[in-house]
Amino acid sequence: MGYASLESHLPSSHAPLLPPGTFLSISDTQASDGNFLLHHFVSNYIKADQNVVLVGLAGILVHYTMVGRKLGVNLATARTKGNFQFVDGLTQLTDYAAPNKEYLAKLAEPKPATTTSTATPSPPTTTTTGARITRPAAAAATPLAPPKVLSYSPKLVELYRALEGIIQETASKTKTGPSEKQLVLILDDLSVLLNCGWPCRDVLALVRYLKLLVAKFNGTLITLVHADGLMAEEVSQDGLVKGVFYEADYIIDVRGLDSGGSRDVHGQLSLLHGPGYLLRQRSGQVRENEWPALTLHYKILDNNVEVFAKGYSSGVL
Amino acid sequence: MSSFKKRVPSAQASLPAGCRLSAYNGQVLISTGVPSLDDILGGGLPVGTILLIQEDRQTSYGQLLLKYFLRQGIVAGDKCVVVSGDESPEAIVRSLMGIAGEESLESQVQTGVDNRDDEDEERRQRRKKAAAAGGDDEDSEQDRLTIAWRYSGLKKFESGVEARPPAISSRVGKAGSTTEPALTPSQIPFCEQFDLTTRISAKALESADTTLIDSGELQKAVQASDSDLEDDSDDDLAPSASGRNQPDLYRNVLDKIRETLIQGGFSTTLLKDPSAPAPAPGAAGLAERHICRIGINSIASPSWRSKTPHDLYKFLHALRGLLRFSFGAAVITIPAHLYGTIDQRHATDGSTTSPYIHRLEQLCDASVRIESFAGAQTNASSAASAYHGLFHVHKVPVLNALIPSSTKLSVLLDGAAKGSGGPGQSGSGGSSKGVNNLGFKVRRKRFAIETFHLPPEGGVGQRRTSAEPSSGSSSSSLSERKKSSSSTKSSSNPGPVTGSIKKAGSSEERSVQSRARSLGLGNKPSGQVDVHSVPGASGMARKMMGLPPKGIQGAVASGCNTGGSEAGHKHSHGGAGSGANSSLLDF
Repeated sequence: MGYASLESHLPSSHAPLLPPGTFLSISDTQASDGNFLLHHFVSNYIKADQNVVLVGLAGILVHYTMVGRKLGVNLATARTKGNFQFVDGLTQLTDYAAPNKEYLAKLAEPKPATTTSTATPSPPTTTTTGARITRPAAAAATPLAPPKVLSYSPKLVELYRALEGIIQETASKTKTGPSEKQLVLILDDLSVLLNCGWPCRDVLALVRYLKLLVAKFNGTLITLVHADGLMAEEVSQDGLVKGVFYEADYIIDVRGLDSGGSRDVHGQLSLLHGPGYLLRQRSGQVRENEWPALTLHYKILDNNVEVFAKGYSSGVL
Repeated sequence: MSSFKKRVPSAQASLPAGCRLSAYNGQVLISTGVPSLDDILGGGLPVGTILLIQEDRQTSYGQLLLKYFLRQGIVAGDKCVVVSGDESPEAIVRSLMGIAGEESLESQVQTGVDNRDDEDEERRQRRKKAAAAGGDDEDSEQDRLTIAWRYSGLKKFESGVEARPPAISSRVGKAGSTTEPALTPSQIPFCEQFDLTTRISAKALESADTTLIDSGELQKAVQASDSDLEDDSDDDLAPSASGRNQPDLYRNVLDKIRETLIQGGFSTTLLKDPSAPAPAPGAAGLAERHICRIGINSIASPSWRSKTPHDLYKFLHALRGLLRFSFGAAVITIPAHLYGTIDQRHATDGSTTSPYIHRLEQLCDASVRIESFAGAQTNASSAASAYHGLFHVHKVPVLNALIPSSTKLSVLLDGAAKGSGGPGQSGSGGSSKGVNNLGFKVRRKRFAIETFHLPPEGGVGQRRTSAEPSSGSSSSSLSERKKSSSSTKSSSNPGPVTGSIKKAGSSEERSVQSRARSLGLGNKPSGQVDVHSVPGASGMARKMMGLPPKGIQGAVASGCNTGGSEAGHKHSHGGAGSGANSSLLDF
C-alpha cells in the first residue's frame, strides 16, 4: 500500500486514495527529490484498481515500472487492464526533438509502430523491432500499444487537448459497473514546461484547466514542481510555485533539513493546507482534522520510505 | 577495482565492451576513466544518463575529466562524439592521454614500479625509513599498532579510491612484442589506468571511432545562412535554403548528435532503417553493441550563442530523451562560474550558486562542480597544498530506483562504511551533503578525488615531540617543509595560514593555527608557541593533531573540538603563559 508510514498522514476520507476533485501539489528541491511521493500514489491507485494517467515529462516509463516493482505493483499488467496510462513527455516535447524536415526526407518512409515487440526499450535489455521515427515503440507486452507521445506545439492548449483525449479514453474504457472509477492525473514535473520556454501564465492556465477537467471525471490532480530557495529569485519560477500553491487543496512540501545532511533523515516533508482546502472546509466538505498540517521527517530506503515525527528517527531511538 | 565477475559466465559476454553491471540494481555502467569519480557515481556512469561538470575558473580540470571520459571510450572501442566550440575537437582528441605502462613494455613493468605515482613512492620510502629507525608511528604499515592499538580493530578510513593496477598482463605477456593483441570484449578493462604525461598513441587514434563536431564552424554556417534570410522575416515563406530549418546552434548540435546515434545504431527506438530486420533480441545481441560516448566541452560558453534563454534547457531535455532510449551517455562541461552574480559566487553552502545552472542540473542525472585553488582568494591552498581543489558533488544518478546506488556502494560518499553510525557522525543521505568534503589532486600521472582533509601539522614524517633547536623557525619554513613533502607543484603562497578555509574537514588545526596568530605572541616573535594548558582538550584531539598526549613535558597547546567555526577562539590559558617552557610545536 505505498509507504505505510505515510498513509496515516494523508486525508482519511478516501484513504488510501485522495478525495476526488482535489488538487495535490508537491514541491521539492534538488537535495530532496519528491519523486518518491509520486511512486506512492501510483502504487496506491493501482492496487486499489483505479485509473492512473501519468505524464512523464522528465522520466521514462521504465523508471516508474522498476520502482513500482519494488513497491509491489506491476505497471505492465495495469497497462493491459487499462488502469494505467503513461504519456511520454520526454522525447518529443520541444521543437528540438522533432528532427528537421529535410533530415526526415532523407529517411525511408516511416513504418507504423508494430505491436509485436517483446521488450521495453531500455538499453540494458533488448531492442525493439521497427519503429516510426517520430513515435518510439515502447510496448511492454504483445498486445500493448506504445505510450502516447506529447509532441511539440507552440501553444500549451494542444497539450491540454491531448491530455483531455487521453483521460476521456481511459475513463470510458474502464467504465465497469455502476460506480465510476477514481482517476488520478499525475504530472511529473511542471518545471520542465516552464523551463522549456512556455510562459508561466500558460503553465498555470494549464494546471487550472486540468484541475477542472479531472474533477469532471471523478479524479484528482497531482503535480510536482521544483521549488528550491535558490530559484525564488527568478520571477517566473517563483510565480509558478506560488501560483500552483494557490490552486492547490493539499500541499506536500519536501525539502532537505536546514541543518545539513544526515544519514538517518533524508529530509522533511510538510503537509500543508492550500487555499482550496480552506474553502472546502468552510463549505463543510471536509471533516475536522482530516488533514492536519504537520511537518515530518522521512528517510528513503531501498523499497520503502519511512515517515516519522521529528526527532523520532530510528537512528535516535 | 577488479573487473566485475558475474556468477553466470554467459552473462558476462552479453554486455557491450567496457561495461559492467551495477552491483546495486543491475544497470549497465560505463567508466568515466577516473576510478574515484566512478565510485562517486555508484560504480560508474549509467548508460543513458548525462553527467554535468561545472568547470573551474582558471584551470582546465573540467576538460581533463572530459578527456578521461573520451579516452576510456577509445580504449573500450566506443564511439566518441566530441563537441567543442572554444577548442577545436581535433585538438582535444589529439591531446588525450596515453595508457600507463604502454611505453615501457620492456622495462620493469612487472614490478609496477614505474607506474606508481610519486607520492606513493615517497610514502613507501618514508615507511621504510620509519621501520628502519624503529619508529612507532601509527602510520606505519605494520599490522600491529603499538600506540593506537585500540584502533586496530576498526575499519581503515578510506580517504581515496585505489587506482586499479594497470591491466598490462594481457599486453605484456609476449615480451618485446610491440603490437597489442586484440582484446576480446570481456578482456577490455572497465577502467583503464592512464598516464597524464604521455599522449595517445597514433595507432590508438587511428583506430578510434570518433565524430568531431565543431560548434564554432556550425555557428558560422548558421550565421551565414541566417544572414541570407535577413530580409525575410516572415515565417510562412517557403524555405529555400537549408538554414531555414536550423535556426540556432543548439538545435544543430542536437541534430548532429541524433544523426550520429541513428547512423551508428545506438538508439533502440530511432532506427536507421526501419525496414531492415531488427537485430536479434536477447542477451546475445548486446555483445555486439557499442556505446556512444558524447563529450561536450564548455557548453554555453560565450562562443555558443543561443536564440532564447531556454535553448540550453531544451537541448538537455531533448538529449535526455535521446539518450534514455540509446546505448549512450554524455559528459558535458559548462563554465558555470560565468553565470552567477558576485554575491552568488561566494555562497558557502556548497550548492550551485546560479539559478540558471540549477535549472540545468534538474535535467542532468549527475552534477559535479570543480573548484580549484589556483588563484583563489583565500589562503586555503597553502594549508592544503596536497590538493589542487575541492570537488563538490551536487547530484548523483538515481535511475530506476528510489535511492542512488552511491548511497550503498560508494566509498568516497561514505556509502559502504557503516561503522558505528553513532551520534555525531554525519553520513550521506539522499544527497551527499553532510558527508566528507572531497578534494582532488592531479599527480603527474593521474587525477584522483579523495576526502579532503588538512594534513597534520609539520608533515607526516616530521612530527616532533622535542623542541626544535632552530629558533628562526617561522611559519614560512613550515609551509616550505610541507611543500617539499608533497611532490606536486601547488600554487600556495608561503604566507601564514589565516585559517579562513571555509570547508576544511579538520577544525582542530585551524583553530590552533589561528589562535597562535591571534595570541600575539609577544616574547617569541619568531612564531614559536608557548605551551599552555587548555582545559577540555581531549586525548583524541591531540592524537589527531599529532601531538603527544597530555602530561608529557607539561601542558601542551591543544586543539579544541569546536565544530567547523571560523578562526578566533580564545581560550583561557593556564598560568604558564609567561613561563619559558620548551615549546612543543613549531609554527
